[in-house]
Amino acid sequence: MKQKQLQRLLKNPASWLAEGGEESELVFATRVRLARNIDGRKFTYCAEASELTLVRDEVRDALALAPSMKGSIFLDMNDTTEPERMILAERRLISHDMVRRFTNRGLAVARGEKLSVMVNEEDHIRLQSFESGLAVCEAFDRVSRLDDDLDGSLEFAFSDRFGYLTACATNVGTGLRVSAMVHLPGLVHNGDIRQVSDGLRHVRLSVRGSYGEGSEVVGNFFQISNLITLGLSESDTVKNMDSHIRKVLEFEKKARETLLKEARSLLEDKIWRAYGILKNARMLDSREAMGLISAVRLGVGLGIVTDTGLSDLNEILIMIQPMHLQMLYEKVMGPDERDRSRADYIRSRLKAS
Amino acid sequence: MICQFCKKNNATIHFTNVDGNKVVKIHICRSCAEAKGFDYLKRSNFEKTDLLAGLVSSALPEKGGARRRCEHCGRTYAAFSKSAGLGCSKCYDSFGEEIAKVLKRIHGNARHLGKSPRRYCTEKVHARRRIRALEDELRISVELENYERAARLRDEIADLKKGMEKR
Ligand SMILES: [Zn+2]
Ligand SMILES: [Zn+2]
Repeated sequence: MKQKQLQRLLKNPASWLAEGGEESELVFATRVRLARNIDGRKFTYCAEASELTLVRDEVRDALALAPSMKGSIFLDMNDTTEPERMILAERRLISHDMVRRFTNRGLAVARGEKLSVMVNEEDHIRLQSFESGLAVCEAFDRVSRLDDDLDGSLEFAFSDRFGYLTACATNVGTGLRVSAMVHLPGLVHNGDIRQVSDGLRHVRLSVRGSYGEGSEVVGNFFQISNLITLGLSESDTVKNMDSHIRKVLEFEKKARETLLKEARSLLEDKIWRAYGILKNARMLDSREAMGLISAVRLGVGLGIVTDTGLSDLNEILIMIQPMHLQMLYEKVMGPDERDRSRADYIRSRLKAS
Repeated sequence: MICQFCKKNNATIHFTNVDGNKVVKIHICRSCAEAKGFDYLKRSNFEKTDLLAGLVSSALPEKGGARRRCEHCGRTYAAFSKSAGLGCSKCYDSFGEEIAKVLKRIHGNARHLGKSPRRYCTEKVHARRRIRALEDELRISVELENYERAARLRDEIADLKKGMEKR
């Protein structure tokens, strides 16, 4: 039963990916996370195995009673294999750290993967909510409702002075982290991305690359997140993030307009070439694929490419990650074979559309 | 030390990265770190182990303080200052004012504002929070020399405080 549920979860990418949503041409997804710990239990840094299992079971029981998690599944990480955990990590349902350190940890996933809970990661409880496009309020409301549900059956570590107490001092207070995964090819192209990130850092937001196997910003995807959790209420954090992200999107739209006005033929050529390569290549490493998808995504956003859509491209971005490919083709593959399969998969997806 | 990527700037960020079963030491300058994206750094837990350690250790307590322990979980202040990680909720009391200093440095603030568990949602707590928020506004009004507004805020705070004593 459990195994079947897990298989179904792994094989089907989250339905929210295809939902579109506000500003989905520029925002791949919004994620909101709340960190909570159980009062009287040691944090994961210091807790013995026996205490961690207690926490895991307490949280599992509380989740079973939570109305917003009705129909969800709970995975005991001890029962999962490493490839399975890697897929969950590529799907952003668990952290990369949890792939390696998994004993006595758990994961609950609601139907559709919009809401999930990591148990005994850095904090006892990490509630996560995903939305397609820009939807900070919706994502926060969903996660906050689950927090209310659990507040009835669990006693959270809290102090009047420091708020929700977390295992790391960087999350204390609201325990709230809002992130938007944004696609900014226009700002990368005109070089303003540096100024924009400096501006965001100035207001204590972090900006970093959000995809890819390696080190760099790949495919012009960035993740913008808040850093301050203490002394700023949830509603102010949500409001701030929403307005800062919208400002960035405005800059990106202006950059795209200028590009269209000043270099339309060049831009169209670049986009169509990228599309041509994606439809015909026989080998694609993930960095090249991401770069090409970025160009086609821009083409879709500008109305230049019309025979494929954002939901296809979003799904492709998830499926061409190394572990997802190996699951799809049901075998362990080296880098060369992966590059071949990646090209095969992309060709098949873009032809079908 | 010179940045190993641009071989030009001074490397200001140093961390250890585990690549498979190989341990790699990385020395990188700020601009290369930013150009390469923070993903790389985050994977190696850069944020926590290096950046935060700096923030925390500079707030280290007086002599012998580093050996101080949380009675409840046994975590030492030294361990906290290395990772910014705490052992249990009581650590926040055990390391008292030092923690407040660290939090102030990280967040620019050392007092919670926002949601609280239901068991804390008493009227008194609400009033206390409201007072705190008004006091902040009052301070700003005085700084901006908006004395009319400041006077109004002062009255409101006094009323709230009176109300709390009665209860
Ligand atoms: Zn450098
Ligand atoms: Zn402690």
